[in-house]
Amino acid sequence: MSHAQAAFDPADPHGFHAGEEHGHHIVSARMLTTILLVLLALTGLTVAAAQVETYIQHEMGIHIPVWINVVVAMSIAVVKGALVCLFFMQLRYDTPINGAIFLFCLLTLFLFFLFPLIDISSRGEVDSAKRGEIVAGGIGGKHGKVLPDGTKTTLPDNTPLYLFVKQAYYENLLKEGKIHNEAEFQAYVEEHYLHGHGHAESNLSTANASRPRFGITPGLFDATDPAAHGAGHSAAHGADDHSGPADGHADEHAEDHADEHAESEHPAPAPH
Amino acid sequence: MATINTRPESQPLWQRPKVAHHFRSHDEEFDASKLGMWLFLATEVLLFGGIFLAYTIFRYWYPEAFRNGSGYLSPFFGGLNTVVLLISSWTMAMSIHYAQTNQQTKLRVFLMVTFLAGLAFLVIKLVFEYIPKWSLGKRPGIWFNFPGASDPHEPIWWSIYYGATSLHALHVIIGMSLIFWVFTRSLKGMYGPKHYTGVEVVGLYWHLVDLIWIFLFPLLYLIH
Repeated sequence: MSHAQAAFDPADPHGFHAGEEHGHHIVSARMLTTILLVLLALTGLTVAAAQVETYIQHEMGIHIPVWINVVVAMSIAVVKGALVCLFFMQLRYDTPINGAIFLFCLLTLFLFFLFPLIDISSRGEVDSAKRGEIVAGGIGGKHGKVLPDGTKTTLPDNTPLYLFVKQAYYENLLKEGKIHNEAEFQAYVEEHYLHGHGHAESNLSTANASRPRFGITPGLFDATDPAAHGAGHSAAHGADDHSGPADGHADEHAEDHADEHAESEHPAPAPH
Repeated sequence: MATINTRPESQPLWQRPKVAHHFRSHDEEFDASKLGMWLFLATEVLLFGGIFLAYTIFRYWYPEAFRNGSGYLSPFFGGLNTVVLLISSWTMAMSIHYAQTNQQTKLRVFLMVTFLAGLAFLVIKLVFEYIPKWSLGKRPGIWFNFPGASDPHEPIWWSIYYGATSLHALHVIIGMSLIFWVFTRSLKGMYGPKHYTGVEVVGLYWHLVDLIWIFLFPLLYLIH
């Protein structure tokens, strides 16, 4: 096959690649079969590990933390994936650039996971610096809203972060000439920052909690959907485990909410 | 340096390859094809990365829904599909081996076995998993209609399950089509030692399909 002995190759006039047919590594059939058997054994291992964990948990009554389940399963999966990449995809014998691309892709994937996970795993900590209170389900990023328990969210004005932001906001508005003193600032904030537009969406999904209200299973979402208590609650609830005194209680609350929502939609005009 | 085809017609097709004019040699074309495929596979990993991240976040928020939802899946059929895909990955790697060693019959047989294994995967998935679950109301999102659900967030679990497995199944279908295409080309004798770019590149794609399933299987089926 080699054309190296050719005196002149018009495709390679300078001879950069003369005789440079690099080797195509042939992975032996025996090696490939061994890798397959190892992969099958690891599959059996990961299934067995999950069943042993379930057995210990249910039969012996010992609680196993979720992270052990995840770490065991993912470790085995990573070993299996590495075997597939190195031998079936031949990264071990390949030019380094292909492996570098794949590793860089994994680095990107790591960053892609890192920042959202930092976000969702530290929301409580951030909230404590940002607001005076943590509201279950979040408040949709706006203040002055009516919560399911009837209270109105307020801006805490004593946290360092809030004071810093407020000061910067104040100075910026001064510079833009939109306000000229403290009183005008208060009025501006009332009008532009604390406005609620009459919305009361605290029952809807927010960044912190999904509140599903779709689906045709009767009663399935009532526990997490306060709006469902107010409207159409008399629908069939034969399969609903939550029916009983608790539901009646929830109904009272829902009516209270309805009143407050009605009020909040027609707020008294704020003094300017 | 086979840019100029001087081979007689009597030789098998793989011995008189057509190399695109912008490549200096068949080897350069082979390496460039593989490099391109790896770049594409990187984007594929990131595509599935989005689904894995959604899985992570929703499992972090609603562990109970995921535990319940995973309980409805059968580790037997999940494990069976894992075995089927691993074996198909092996047959794919073996067909590259047979292309490299010029064993044409075995190359064709192993490509066909790989194709059939992909088909078996889809049939198991559809007949023993998708159809029974869908008919019981275990459906994603707004189609959810399962009266036995005990956690209000189970529709989210099914969205993740169907999203991840159907996107994977789509990749299986695409991979099978490519393997069939390579199979028909192998019948014409287009693959041989050092000239098996098609088998190699399609093989890489098929191994990625296997690789994704290696991670999907424990995350979906083995939660407790």
